[in-house]
Amino acid sequence: MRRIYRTCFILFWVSIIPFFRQTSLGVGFLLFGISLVSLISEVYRRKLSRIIRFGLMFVSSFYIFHEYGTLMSLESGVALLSLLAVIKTFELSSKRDLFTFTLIIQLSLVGHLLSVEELYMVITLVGIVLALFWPLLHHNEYGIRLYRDYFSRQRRIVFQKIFLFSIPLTVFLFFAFPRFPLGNIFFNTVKKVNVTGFVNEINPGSLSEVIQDGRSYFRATFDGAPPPLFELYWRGSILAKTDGFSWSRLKVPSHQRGKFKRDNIRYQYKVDYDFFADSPLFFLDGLKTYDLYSRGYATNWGANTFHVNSFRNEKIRYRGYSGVKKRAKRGDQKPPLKLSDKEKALYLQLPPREVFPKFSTWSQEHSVKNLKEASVLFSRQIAGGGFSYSLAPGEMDSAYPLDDFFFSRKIGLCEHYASAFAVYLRTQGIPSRVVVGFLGGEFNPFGDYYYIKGTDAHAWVEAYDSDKGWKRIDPTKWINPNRIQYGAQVYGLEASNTESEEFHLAISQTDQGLLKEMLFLADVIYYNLNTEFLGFDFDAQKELFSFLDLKHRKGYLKLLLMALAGLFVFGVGLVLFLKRSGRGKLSEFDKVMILFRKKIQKRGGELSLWWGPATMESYLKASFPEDHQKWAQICRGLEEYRYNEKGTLKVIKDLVLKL
Amino acid sequence: MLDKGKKLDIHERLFTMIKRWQAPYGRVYILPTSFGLYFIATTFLLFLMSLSYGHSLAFTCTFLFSSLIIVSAHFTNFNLYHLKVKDGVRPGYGILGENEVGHIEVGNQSSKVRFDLNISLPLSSQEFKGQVLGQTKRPVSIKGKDSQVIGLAFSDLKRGCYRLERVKISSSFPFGLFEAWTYHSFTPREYWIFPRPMSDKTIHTKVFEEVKKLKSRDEEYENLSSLFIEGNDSFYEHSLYQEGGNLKRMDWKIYARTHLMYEKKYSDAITKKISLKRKSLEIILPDLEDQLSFLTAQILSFQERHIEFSLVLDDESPLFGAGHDFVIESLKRLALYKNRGSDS
Repeated sequence: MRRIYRTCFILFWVSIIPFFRQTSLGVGFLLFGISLVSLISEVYRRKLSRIIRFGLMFVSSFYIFHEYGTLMSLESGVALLSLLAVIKTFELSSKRDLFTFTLIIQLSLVGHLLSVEELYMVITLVGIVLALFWPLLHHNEYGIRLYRDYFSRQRRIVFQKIFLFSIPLTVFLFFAFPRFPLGNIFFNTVKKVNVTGFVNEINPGSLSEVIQDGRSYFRATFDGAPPPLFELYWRGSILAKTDGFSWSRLKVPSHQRGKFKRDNIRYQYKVDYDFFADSPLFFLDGLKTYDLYSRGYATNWGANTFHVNSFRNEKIRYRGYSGVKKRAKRGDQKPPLKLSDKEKALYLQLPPREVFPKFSTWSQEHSVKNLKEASVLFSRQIAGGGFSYSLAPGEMDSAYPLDDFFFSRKIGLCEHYASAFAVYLRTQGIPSRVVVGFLGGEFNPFGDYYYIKGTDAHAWVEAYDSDKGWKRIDPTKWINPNRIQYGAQVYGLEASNTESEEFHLAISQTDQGLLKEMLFLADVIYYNLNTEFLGFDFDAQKELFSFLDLKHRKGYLKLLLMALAGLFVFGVGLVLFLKRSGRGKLSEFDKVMILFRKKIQKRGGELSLWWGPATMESYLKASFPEDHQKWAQICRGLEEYRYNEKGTLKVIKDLVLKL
Repeated sequence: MLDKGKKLDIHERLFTMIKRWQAPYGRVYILPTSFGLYFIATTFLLFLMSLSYGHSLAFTCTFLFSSLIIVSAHFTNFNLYHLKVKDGVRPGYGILGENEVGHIEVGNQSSKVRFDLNISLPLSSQEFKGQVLGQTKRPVSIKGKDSQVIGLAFSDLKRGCYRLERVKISSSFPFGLFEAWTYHSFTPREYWIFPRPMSDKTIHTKVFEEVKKLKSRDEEYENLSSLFIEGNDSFYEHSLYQEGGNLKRMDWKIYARTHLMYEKKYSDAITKKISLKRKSLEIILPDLEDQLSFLTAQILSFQERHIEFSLVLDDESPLFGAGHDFVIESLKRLALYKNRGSDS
C-alpha cells in the first residue's frame, strides 16, 4: 500500500468517526462500503475506471438524496463531501490529488462541526487538524519512502512548533476577533426527530419510557435563590384532546394580552438544552416573558407554552421570567378571564361514553359542584381505593383502558392519574387539560443549577376555576407525595418504605458521597465551560472587553496602553527569539569587516556594504595602488574564508590591524 | 573625537545589522501557492459560515486554520534566512547532455535546519533568446551550520556561453501553502556549456567505418588518419609538472624522493602534433553538431594523452598547444562555433 494512500485513508476515517453519530446509518454504511472497495483496489493495485467511479458517485449521491430528502441541507452537503473524499481515495496519484483531498476534508470538517455543540469536540478538532496537516508536511517528499532520519525528526519538531504557536493565536483570535453578526444565512437543516415527543401526545404508559430512558434534557440556572423542588413544574405543552385515556396536543387559544411585562418577576432562569431538536420551551408557572438566545423562531402554542424551531443544529438556549400575578386590592379584584364557548367546548371535549362505560357511570354517581369538591372526592378515591404508583404499570386493556386502570389494575404513573382526573373533571363539566413537562430536577450544589433529565418527566392537570382561572392540580400528590417532595430520586427506593426512617435516610444520602460530589463538580466545570464556549457571541465579547469602557475617552487610552504593552511584549519576545537564533550576535567575519572599513575610512576611502571581496580588492587597488599587495592578501583571504572556508580570520585580522 | 568614533561605531553596527537582515540573506519574497490560495479561500468561506451560524466550534476551526496559515507563512519565510550561496557554479562549465551540468554550494549559517530548498539558476544567453533554467531534481534540506553541494540539471540547454548573475532559492516548506523565494547575486561571470563528446562506441561505428571506406582516396584519408593515431607508450623523458598536466603520468617515485613533481613524457606527446580540422570531417560527419561532438571527444582524449594539437574550425592558421588552459580555450571555441555556411 502506498504511503500517501495509507495516510489519506486514515485521515478520512479520523475525520469521519468522531461525527458518526450525526451521520445517518445508511450513509455510514455507504461510506464504509466504498472505502472498503477503495482499500481492496489499492491493495490489489486494480484501479477502477473513471466511468465506474463516476457511476459510483452518481448512485451514491442519489442514495444520499433519498436518505435526506434533499441535497441542499447541511447534513446532505456534508455527506456529499464525505462521499467526494472517499471517491478521491481512488485517484491519489499526485501531489495535486493530496491537496484536493485536503481541501475536501477541510470543508467537510466544518460541515460536521456545525452539527455538534460540545466542548470536548475542540480536542477532536485539534486531533483532526493535526492529522490533516501531517501529510502536507511531507508534500515535497511525495512518493518517496520516508526514513526516520535526522531531517524527519527535525521536521516533526517544526510541526510541533507550528501547532504550539498556532494554538495561542487561535485562542486570541477566538476571543478578540470581532464577531460581527452577519445575519441568518443558513443551509437548510434536515429536521431532527423531536426527542421530546411526549409533549405532543401521551398514551398512558409511554411516559414511563421517557422516565426509564433517563436521558439528559436541560440545565436551569436561577438568578438568586432557586425555588423549592416541589415548585419546579416545567410546563412543556398542553394536551387538550382526549380519546378517553390518551391525550394529544391541540393548539389552544392564548390568553396573552398585549406585550409581556417584566413586572412582579419572581424567578429568572437560564435554560440550556442538552440536545438538538425542535422543542417546546419549558417554563415555570406564571411565565412573564422570555429571551431566546439560540437562533430559531418561537411559535406560541397557547396557554403560555411555546415551541422553537431552530434555524440550524443548535442547542436551544433561553432565559425565562416567571412571576406571580399582581395582588389586587380588595374590592378591586378583577375577575379571571372567562372562557369562551369555543374554549369551553375545547376543554370539555370527551369521546362517547362507550369508550369508558364504567368510569362514566362512576362519575355520574359521584357528581360534584365545583373543582374543590372534585379534587377532594378524587383524591379520596385514589388514596383509599387501593391504587399504587409504579414506573412499570403495564399495558391497559386496549378496548376500555380507563376502566381497566381505574377499576381493575389500579396501578399507574403520573400520566394515568392525570388522565383519569382530567377526564373526571370534564365529565363534571369542569374544563381541564393535561400538562406535560418535568417536575423537579437534580440540584447541583456546586453550580447552583438544576439538571433535568428524562427521569423528571411528569404530567399533571390544569383545571379551570371560575373564580381563580386556571389552576394546577397534581393527582400524583395523592398517590405518591414523595415524588413531588423529593423529586425523581424516589424512583429507586421501595414504595413500601416511603414512610419509614430508612427511606428518609436513603433520600438524604442520595446527594452525598465523595463520588457523587466529584461528579457534581465535574458536571459544573464542563457545563460552565461548555456554555461559556458555545455561548460566546458578539454580546459576550463586548462584555469581555467591557473593562475598556470604549464609550469614554479613557477607554481609548486604556486600549492604546494595552496595544503598547502588547507591542512591548511582542518586541521582547522577538528579541529573545532572535538572540536564541544567533541573529543577535555579530559574527567574527562581520567584526573583521567593520574593522577593515574603519581602517579604510581613516585613509579617506569608503567601502560599500554591498561589495564582495573581489570588488573591494579592485576598488582598493585603484584607490591606493601603493599597498596593492596588502589589499590582495586581505581581500583574497576574506574571499577564501567566506566562500571556500579556508584559512583563519585571525591572520586576516592581524593584517587589517597592521594597516 | 571619542564621540565621533563612538557615533561611527553605532552607525557601523546599525548598518551591519541592516545588512545582516538584508544583504547576506537577500530579500525574501513570499506568496501563496495555488493550493495555498484555495486553502485560504476555503478558510474564508468557513469564516463566513461561522459568522452566519455564530457557531463557536466553527469559529475555533476557522481560527485554527487561520493561525496555521499565519504561522506556516512565518516558517516558510524564515526557512530561507541565513542561507549563503558560494559565488559561482562549479566547475564553471558543463558538458551538454549530462544530467547535472553544474554544482552550487549552499551554506546554512543558522543553527536550524533549512528544509526543502529548491535551487534554480537562470542562465541568460545573448545567442539564444530567453533563459535556461537549472534546477535541483528534488528539494534539498541542509542541516544547521552546514553546507551542501547541490547538483543542477538544465532543460533545453544548448552549447554556448551563458551569463550567471543570480540564483533563486525557493521553498514551500512546511505545508505547501506558501512559496518563499530569495535571490542570491553572483559576481557576474560566464558559464560555458561545451558540446557533448562523442562516445567511443559512436566513433568506432560512425567514424571509423566511414574512414575505412575512404582509404582509396589518399588525400582525404591522410587528413583524417592523423586524427586517429594510436598513442605510443614508450617513455621519452621527464619534465617538470605544470598546472593542468595529467596527474596519472606523475612520477610519484621522484616525488617521494625529492618532493619535486615530475611528469613522464611519452614519445607520442613529444613527437606528434595533430591538427584537428573540422572541414575534413564534413565528408564523414555532415551534421555540424556531430563534428563538434567528435572534435570535443578528440580534444579531451589528447588532453589525457598530453598530445599537442591545433583546432582549425574554418580556414584559420593552426595554432598548436596543449595543457588545461589550451584545452578549455579550444572547447570554448567549439561551444561558440557557428557554421558560417549555415548562417548565410
